[in-house]
Amino acid sequence: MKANAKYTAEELLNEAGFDGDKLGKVRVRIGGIPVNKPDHVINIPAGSDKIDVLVGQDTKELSFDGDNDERQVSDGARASLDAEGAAIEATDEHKEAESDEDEDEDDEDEKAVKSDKSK
Amino acid sequence: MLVIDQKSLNLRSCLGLDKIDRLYHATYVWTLQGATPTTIDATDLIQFAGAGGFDTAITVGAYNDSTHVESSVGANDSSGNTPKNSKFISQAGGTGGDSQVDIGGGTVDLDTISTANCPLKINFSHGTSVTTTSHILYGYNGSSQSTGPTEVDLRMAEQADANWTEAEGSGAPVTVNDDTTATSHDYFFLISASPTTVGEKTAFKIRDELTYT
Repeated sequence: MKANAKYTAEELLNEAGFDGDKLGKVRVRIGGIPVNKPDHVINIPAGSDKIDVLVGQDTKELSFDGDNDERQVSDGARASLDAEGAAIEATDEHKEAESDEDEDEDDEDEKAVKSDKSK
Repeated sequence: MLVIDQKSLNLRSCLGLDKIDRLYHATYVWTLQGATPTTIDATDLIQFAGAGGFDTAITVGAYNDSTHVESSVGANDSSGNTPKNSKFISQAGGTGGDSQVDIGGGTVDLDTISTANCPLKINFSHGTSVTTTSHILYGYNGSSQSTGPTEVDLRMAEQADANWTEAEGSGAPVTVNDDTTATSHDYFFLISASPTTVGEKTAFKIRDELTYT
């Protein structure tokens, strides 16, 4: 595992020798970052030699074998980032739908007002 | 510890720059990447421009074809540095719904762009090793952080993101991945902007916020 890369919490825990099933159950710190989800994407900055991984009362050291020349994204991190992107799309579509509904309601209000005025 | 830095942007139309004083031993350095990087100093502007280069206009509804650093007196500080540019193409037209971008060689998926080809690099450094969390980046109108830039459509993404974020206002920021402990942290961003009406756009800033511990 090299630095200058993004990994998920689960990947880093496994590399350090921990099971990912502890997440959300006990205190977990990865390189100082509090974590409670396995798909939490964490960037290991270039130049990082090692980090401490703490799970409950146990601490292990995770070492890195140098840096990637170009920042890499692990398979797990890629999947997590893709899911975040899909969530952005879902939010945008929801906002568009709400906007369309608002416009439709405005049209209906306008029609009601016109109808009243014509009486 | 929360630190904040921000820059004003302009659509060529124009760009204004604003910096908050550094806190404690923390330092921010903003750079427009290119064949040669251009440091964005405290009084500089980031200029989004058209295909004609520095000081050329962008058609209403279209996105930037070039990005530059403009000095406070209007000089092209990135001249000769071949600065990078990222142009919004689509929100979900790429592979598996990925966003698309053009960095000068045609349309590609957003998440294929390397750190070297991202226009904006922000470095946060500290005298001692620190983690960075709760890191966000967004644009606003320069006076109210919750309000997006005036008459500008803004799209931003952190390198490796699958989709653009319409990062207009503090309620819709780009969420930047946490960094484990280090004395120097590099962040890379793609940014693209489009004027929604004719005229110079000056109510336009980008704000970076993170917590370090």
